[in-house]
This record gives sequence, structure tokens and C-alpha cells, in this order.
Amino acid sequence: MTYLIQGRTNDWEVVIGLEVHAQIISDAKLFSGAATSFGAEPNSQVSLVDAGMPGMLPVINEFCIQQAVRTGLGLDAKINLHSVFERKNYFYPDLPQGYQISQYLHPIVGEGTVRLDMPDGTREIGVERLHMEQDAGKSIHDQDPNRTFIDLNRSGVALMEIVSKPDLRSPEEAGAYLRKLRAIVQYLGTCDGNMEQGSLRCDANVSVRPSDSDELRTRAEIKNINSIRFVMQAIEYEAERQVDVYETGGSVVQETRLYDSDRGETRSMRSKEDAHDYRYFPDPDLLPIDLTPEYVEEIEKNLPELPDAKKVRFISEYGVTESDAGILVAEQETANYFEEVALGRDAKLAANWVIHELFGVLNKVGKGISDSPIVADKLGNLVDLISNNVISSRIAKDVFEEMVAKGKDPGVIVEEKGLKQITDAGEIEIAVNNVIADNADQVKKFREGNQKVVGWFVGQVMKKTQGKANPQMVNELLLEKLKG
Amino acid sequence: MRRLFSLKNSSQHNQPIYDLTSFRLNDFLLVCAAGIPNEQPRKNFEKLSEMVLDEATVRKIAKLARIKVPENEVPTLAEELSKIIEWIEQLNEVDTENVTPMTSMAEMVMPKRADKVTDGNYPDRVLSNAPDPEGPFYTVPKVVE
Amino acid sequence: MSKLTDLTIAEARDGLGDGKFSSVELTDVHIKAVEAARDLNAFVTETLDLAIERAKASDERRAKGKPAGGMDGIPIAVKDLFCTEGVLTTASSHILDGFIPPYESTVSQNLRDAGSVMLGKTNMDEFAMGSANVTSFYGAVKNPWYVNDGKDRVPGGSSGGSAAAVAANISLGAAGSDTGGSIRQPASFCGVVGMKPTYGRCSRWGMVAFASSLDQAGPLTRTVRDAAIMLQAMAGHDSKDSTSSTEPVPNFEASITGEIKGLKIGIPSEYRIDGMSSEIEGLWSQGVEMLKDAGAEPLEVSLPHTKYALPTYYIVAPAEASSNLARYDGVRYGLRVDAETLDEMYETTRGEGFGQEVRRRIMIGAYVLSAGYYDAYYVKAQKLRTLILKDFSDAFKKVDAILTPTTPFAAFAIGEKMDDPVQMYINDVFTVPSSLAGLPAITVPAGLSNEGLPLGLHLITKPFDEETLFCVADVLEKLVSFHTKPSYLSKDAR
Repeated sequence: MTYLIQGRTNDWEVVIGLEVHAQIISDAKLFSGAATSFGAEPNSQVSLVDAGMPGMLPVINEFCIQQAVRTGLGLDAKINLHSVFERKNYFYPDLPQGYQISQYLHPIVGEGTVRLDMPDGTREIGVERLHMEQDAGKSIHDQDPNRTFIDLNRSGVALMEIVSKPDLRSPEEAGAYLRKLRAIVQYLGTCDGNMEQGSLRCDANVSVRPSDSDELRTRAEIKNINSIRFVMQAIEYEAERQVDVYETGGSVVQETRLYDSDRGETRSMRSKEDAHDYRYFPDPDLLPIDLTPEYVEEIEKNLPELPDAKKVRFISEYGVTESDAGILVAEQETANYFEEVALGRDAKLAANWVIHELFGVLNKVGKGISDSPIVADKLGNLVDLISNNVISSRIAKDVFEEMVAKGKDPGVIVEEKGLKQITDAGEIEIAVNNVIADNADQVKKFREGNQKVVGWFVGQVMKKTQGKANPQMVNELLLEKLKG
Repeated sequence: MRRLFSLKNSSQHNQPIYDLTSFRLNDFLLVCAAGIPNEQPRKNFEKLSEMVLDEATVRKIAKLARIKVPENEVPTLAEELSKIIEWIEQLNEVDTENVTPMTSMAEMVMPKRADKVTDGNYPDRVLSNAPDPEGPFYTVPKVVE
Repeated sequence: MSKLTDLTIAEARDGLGDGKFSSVELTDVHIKAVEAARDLNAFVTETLDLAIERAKASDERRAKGKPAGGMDGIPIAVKDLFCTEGVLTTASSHILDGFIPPYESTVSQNLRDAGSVMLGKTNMDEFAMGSANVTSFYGAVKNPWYVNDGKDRVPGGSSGGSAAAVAANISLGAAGSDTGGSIRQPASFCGVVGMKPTYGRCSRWGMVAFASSLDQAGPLTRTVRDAAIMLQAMAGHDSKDSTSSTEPVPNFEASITGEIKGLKIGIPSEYRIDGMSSEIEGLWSQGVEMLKDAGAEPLEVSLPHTKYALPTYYIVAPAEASSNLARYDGVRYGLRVDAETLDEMYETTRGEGFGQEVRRRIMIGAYVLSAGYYDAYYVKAQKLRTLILKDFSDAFKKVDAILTPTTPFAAFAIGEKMDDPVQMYINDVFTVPSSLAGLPAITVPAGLSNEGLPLGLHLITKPFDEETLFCVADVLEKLVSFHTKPSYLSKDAR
């Protein structure tokens, strides 16, 4: 299912590479002891180092190195035992040192792979590298007509920049890549993946080429896109724009562009027009990072089960379908939730309830699984009630709604409302007898050969029992009685 | 021609190369630091007018370094910087093909800090020297994106 | 008893210990000396009230029998490169106008913890970039040494104010910093001892950075023993500086044994040049002879890449400086020149805030790091640095210390050597190689030029072998017996 843009002259293929900035989960910053939590008072999480005071020096946070290595391992990537911090020099008011400490020629992580499950099969997307760097502060432009305000709380927070190879070929693949990458770092506990709070930000390098060509044409870099949906929209817009440029005889310029989500378009950032020359050189305030193979092995030993492995296990261990397994492992919390529900129960039934009923509700109320109104334990109880024939699947849906509304245990709801399935043959027989007695004409139709009326009879019996009668028993008894 | 000096034990030839009769000590040291050429003399100092660092480059690096250089100072600066760069370029005579560049002064394992919050929480100290603070913020002239 | 301002740190320490005088008395005469010598322009900021306060505290500690450390009650000066909490810190630059650090540098804190009393912040070349103390925004410093030609001499630089203060008996010692010779060259010009320890011995935390891979703090004093005492207070591992060494700090003063028999002293032939002025040549030979007489064994050694040290330095140091000085942007501290747009604000603030030499070096630095030139200049220089370091390690396989002149000439007049930057750079031709290699080095006043200005001899040892350095320097100092006082002091008797 190749994504092609049909132009006037020919079909165009889009070539996408993504640079993702993922904030490393750590208590303190990359090179200082200031805190990293989101939403603190302006300039309160700023040390003298983060403010770029004269004579202040960086000292690396050991845990951030671990986190970067862990992420690299999670991306099946090569860990570079020797890596070097360099200074990327440029002026910006939220960059207090006048340079960003980053890694350039010698990143901590080399090439890796991210596997995507696309409708037409698995796609392997190359990771070019992962390096550590400092975040900048925040410039606030809307507080004053003449001035920009600067908050340095983010200044010096640890980031991983994860650069993909230009292997992505459609907005959908870009979206899938981001979701997968987010899942991996969340599983690893190295980044919370929160795009709204800026813990995960994405720059997209986009170019197009005639579909029969494999050249790499000039790309535009779309900066700082803050949701997966916008990344996909921005790519789509930008690719079409470039096709249009080529087809009207123009040429694409290498430039930085901004995605305007209100207008659904990308536009050139003129202010960044003067070419950057970052004058990288190794930071003389720091030494190279030299890791031992043992150090890396130790981290590798303690890696959690990642989405791909978990998916395989869900299929084999729980017998869920491949597509259900894919959905369940997409987020670690979902996977954990599912496993809690499925453990020792009918796993397929559990998957069904999580994917269809629970997700339906979560979507409706706009909540994530971590603040689900129904905890896994209670959903498990509901599955038990169904499996043990205490309630029917139909009744279960009512109970589920009640659970969402009141947060009660399903057993309690069933008890209070008397929703227990009627499995007493005598009780059902009375209802069946009554229905048959009251509807002689329908009985006649059946006996004349109209099988369809059976369904109607079942409905009537269920109605009489407020839906509580065991449907299978009703069916059997009805057939027996109707046949006389 | 009077032989005034040579650099002992460098790989240089010992024959006099420059007419140095009129050199004073300072000139001598200048030449010394500039390096005595092996076979043929380096460019004469007069030749520095062929500037390695032209005026456009001066403007470019001034911009890069965010330093205002008044237009009338550009030619002088270009000349001065060119002189320095030309002088520096004597390093080219050393074969460094198989030499590893020095990366750090200290031969030790980089020290690391624990992931503990030990600093910050003093916006007043951070802002105490700010030229134009506004509440808890630094400010700069409006940035247009 | 001689005047209190004539004392060495060791003598003052003993006098304080023996109760011959109090720190307040000692500090008071130095305060008067500071005030009397304002024409030298040695200080950017005097902290005289603070000094009295700290002297009182010192006397109280001593009265309780709990002196703080090896320098309790000793008045010293601190180069204005060290950030001092609550005290203006400028690095002699306009761009740090009004900057009051809310923190104390590790080195100045260590000196405080040792009980020393800070008299003030000394003048220097702007951001330590210079060899004559003429690039200071606060004006040139005068060398207390002069001859009767009506011209004031430069004190050298960049620690010119520190050197002048120690030479003029304003201060018993001074903290300086050395990047390519910024302690040793002015010490030599002013006839005092100046010592740069091994890179990593003293923390760089809180010291305004010039070139991070070269900057090292060190003492300027009147004797080698004083330098050992003062370095003891300044040095030590600091977890806030990733390049700070964890090598144990020995007792430096104890290394001064007077015994150098059998030590091998390297004489690098590359430093000996035909046509070198006879006074420098003579001084050097004399130094060699003296050490030989004391039982050391002089040996010719070769440091083949010596002549490339200076151009290497003028790539590495400006490159690092161009980046280190990017933080002076008018946003968070110091000077801001208001402007309509951000870039104008940056450019005018930095254009006006930095002096000519600093601007020049920032631009050289930006150029050698810029795209397309990085390998040709910066990487090349770092390779040369490897070779220079190797020269020294090879030499130190054969010798225990290396003896060279400190400077190629004596102090020159203020205003000279200003036309050509490269000419000014030559000042550091003998000190730069050891800086590039991070080695400990010391200058000891060793004689007078024909004009009557002081000249120093320079010793270098292996990394972290300050003990041998102090030991040999002390022997040399005793043999040289340099007791001439600067002309300024005889004028002082007026």
C-alpha cells in the first residue's frame, strides 16, 4: 500500500526522516542538581550552572547516561562505549551558556531499528543515532508587547535526540514510528512520552521524489511539532507543497519550516534564515564518557519486556489475535491492565472487553487507561461473572455501564439489582410455557415450518425474565416445547 | 649577510635564511615564533595584504559572534586577524597524519553526580544581576519568530 | 622588626602564631599600603572593610586557640577573575558591569576557609587576555619597578594587578590564574614568585573562564615557600569541577628540603637561541651553574615542537574563549546596551562590552571553529598539543625538572607592543608550552636586566610533581639571593 502523491506530471514518493527529542526521566538535570519537574514556578528550578553564571561548570548526571544506554538497547542499537560531549554554539536568549552541550561526532548510541506493524506488513525503520543533550529554557512571547520573557526551568534538562534514517514513506508510517518509539521509551521508563508537556517533540525532515527514482532531494525541516496528528498533517501538507513547487518548475530550498496547526500549513521561518554555523568542538569542561561492556550488559539484563516481545507472548500465551495483541501492547499501561484482567481467566474474553468496551468508554470520556474509571481487578470480576454464567454477555454490558457510572464492583451490582442469570430450568420453563400459551398463532407459524419465529419467542422469554434467563437454556426449552 | 641566529636542533637547516642585520630582539622573536621555513622562505610579511581573512569573512564571523564591528573598522580588523591566522598556519609544516588530537587534559574517568535534586529553588539569586527582570523572568527585546 | 608589609607569608604566619602582632594590626598596615599605592591601579575593587571584619574574626579564632588553617589572618589579594560572593567581580571587563556573584569560587572559598583576609580584587587583562595588563577596562596597572626614563613599565599580564600588589608590598600574596603564562610572566616582570600548578590541582569552579583546558589558578608570592603555603590553601579536589584532579594533595611546604643532589635538570635546547639577548642567556646559564653547584645534574633535553606551541595556543585558547564568552549576552547579568531587536542588543552589548583584544580573540576563535576550517585549525592544534605533551613526557623520562627563562625580555613600557597583536603574544613564548601540556611550573626572580628590571627563571616538572618543583625552586631562590626591591618601594620611603 504505497503512499503516492499523484501530481500532474507523475507520481511522487515522500521521504521522511524524524528527529525526536525525548526528555529523559530523571530527578535532576543533565549537568546540575536542579529539579526537572513540570510546571514549577518560573526560574525556580534553576541552578547557577543552568543560568550560565560565570565560572559555573557542568558535572554529568550518572543516571541520564544509564537512561540513554537503556533506550539505545531498547532500539536494538549499537552502544558506543566511547562518546564525547561537544558544544553547539549559537545565541538564543533561552540558551544561557551561549552553547548547548550535546553530542556530535561521537554519540552514545549508534544505529538501531524500530519495527512498525503496518496494515500491509512489518516495516523496519532504521535509527541513525541517539545522543544526549541539554534542553534550552522557555521563551514566552505573549506576556508583554515589547519584550520576550525567559524562564530557565527547562534549561539543562536532559534530552535524548533520536534520529531516524530517511526510511519513512508516508504520514501513516511517521505516525506509527512515533507511536512505537513512544511506546518503547515508556516501556523502558526513560521518557514519559508526553507530547503536550513537551517531553516528546518531533522535527520532521521531508522531501519528495518521483516514484520511480531513488534520489534524495532537498529536504525541508519542520520544527517542533507537538502531536502525532500534527506530525502527520504537517508531512502531508509539506509533501504536497513540494510536489507543487517541482511541478510548477520551482525548486525546494533547504530551510526550517514551522507547522501552523490552526491553518494546517507549514511556513518558512524567516528569522532562522541566516545559515547556522554551530562551531561544534569537544567541551573542555567535560571528559569523554567511557563505558565498560559490563556496565552495558548489566543494563541489558534488567531491560523490561518490550512491545515486540510482549506481542509475541500475548499471542502465544493468551491466544489473542495478532491485531488485538498489537493494540494491547501499544501502551505499556494497557498491556499491564490487560494482563491483570486476563490472568487466570478467559483471555480472549478479557481482550474483547478491554479493547471494545473499555476503550469505547475511555474514548468517550477522554481518559487514558491510567485513569480508567474501572480498575483492572473489577473488570476481571466482570469477566468471571460472564465466564461462570452468572450473568449473560448482554446483562454484562449493563453492569459495565453501572460500573463506569458508580465505580462499584460488578458482583455487588449484580446482587443489588438481581441481575443474576436464571439457570433454574423450572423457572425458565414457566416463562416458556407462558409465552407459548399466550401466542398460539406464532406457535402455529412455527409448526407450519417457519423457523424464524424461534428468535421472536426467545426475545419474548428474555423480556419476561428481564433478560436474565440463560439464553442457551431458553433456546433448548423453546425448541423442545414448540416441537410439542 | 651576517648570521644572527638559528633554531638549534629543530629539523631546520643551519644556513641563514633571512637578512636579519636590522632585526631587533622583538623582531627576532616574532620571526622565531612565526617559524623559520625549511626550504623556501614563507610569504614576506609585506605580502600579508593577500588576506586570508577578507572583509566579508570578518563581517560573517562578527555576526556569528554577535559582536558589532563598525564598518570603518572592518579593513583593519581583517588585516589584523589575517596576520594572526597566517602566523598560525605555520602549523601546516608539521606532519600530523597519524597523531591523535588531544581531547582532554585530565587522564581520568569522568566524575559523575547522582540523580539527586541538590540545587536550585532560589530564583532571587538567579535573577539578582538581571539587567531588566520582570517578576520571576529575565526579559529581552521581543523575539519575532 | 622589619615593617609588617615586608614580611613573607611564612614570617607573618609565625608572627601571628607567636602573638607578636594580631591579624587586625597586620591587615591594617596592608590597608594603608593599599590606599597609599592607588596610583599603581593594582585593584579593581578594594574590600577594606571586609578585610578588617575577617581579620577580627581571625583574631577571635586564634584567641580561642582554633586558627582556621595555614593562612589564618594573612592579608592577600584575589585576582578579579575569581567570583566572590557579594563582592563585585568584573574580570576587568566592561561587560561584567555591576556583577555581584551570589556565590564564591572554590579557590577563593578555600583561601577564606584557610583563614586568609582578602584586601580586594586585583586588576587584570580583560578576561585574562593579555600579557601587559593593558587590556583592562579599568586601565593599565603600573609595574612597581621602573627605571629613570620617565616611562611606566607594564606589570605583565594577565595577573598584572596581583603581581604588582605582591611586588609593591601591598599584599603578602595574591591569587592569580594562568592560561598561557598569566601568573608566571607578570611575576617575572614584577620580580616575584609565580606558580602555576598542574592542570586540575585547583578547582576552576567559580573562576571566570577564559580557556577551560588551560586555565589554572595559582599563587603569586614573594618566596617559594610562600607559594607552597598558599597553594596548599588553594588546591584540592572539587566535585563541582569535572576536570578537578583526585590526586592526593601532598604537603607542599614539606617538600622544601634544600636537597637537590642528584636531581637531573633538563635544559631544552629549543629554548636556547643564538641571538637571544645576552642578559637572558646569561641569567639562564647562571641558573644552570647554580643548580649544578648545588649537586643537580644539568642535561640537555629536546622539546622539538616548542616553536609550534605559541601558534597552537592561539588556536586552542581563542576557540575555547569564543565559546566561553558567549554567555556574556546582556540577558542575565552585567552590561546590557538597550536596543530594539534582540540581535542588535546582543551585538551592541558585546561590541561595547568587550575590549579590542577580547573581540579579536573571540573572532579568531569563532573563525577557527567555523565550518570548513575546524579540521585545518582546531583539530590540527589539538594534534600539535599531543606532540608537545609527548615532547615533555619523553624529556621527563630523563630529567626531574626543566629550567628555562620565564620571559624573552623584561617589562616594557606601557603603550609599547600594541601595534601588532602577534608581537604581544611572544611574551608567553616560554610559558605556553607547559600550559598546553598542563604541567606545573614556577618562576623565581633571578636577576636584573641591563636596564635594572627583574627577570625570572622558570622551572617545569612532571604532572602533579609540585614537590620537586618547589624543592628545586627554593634552592634556586636561595642561591640567586635576589633581594633587590622595586623602585616604587624606595620612593615609598619618601
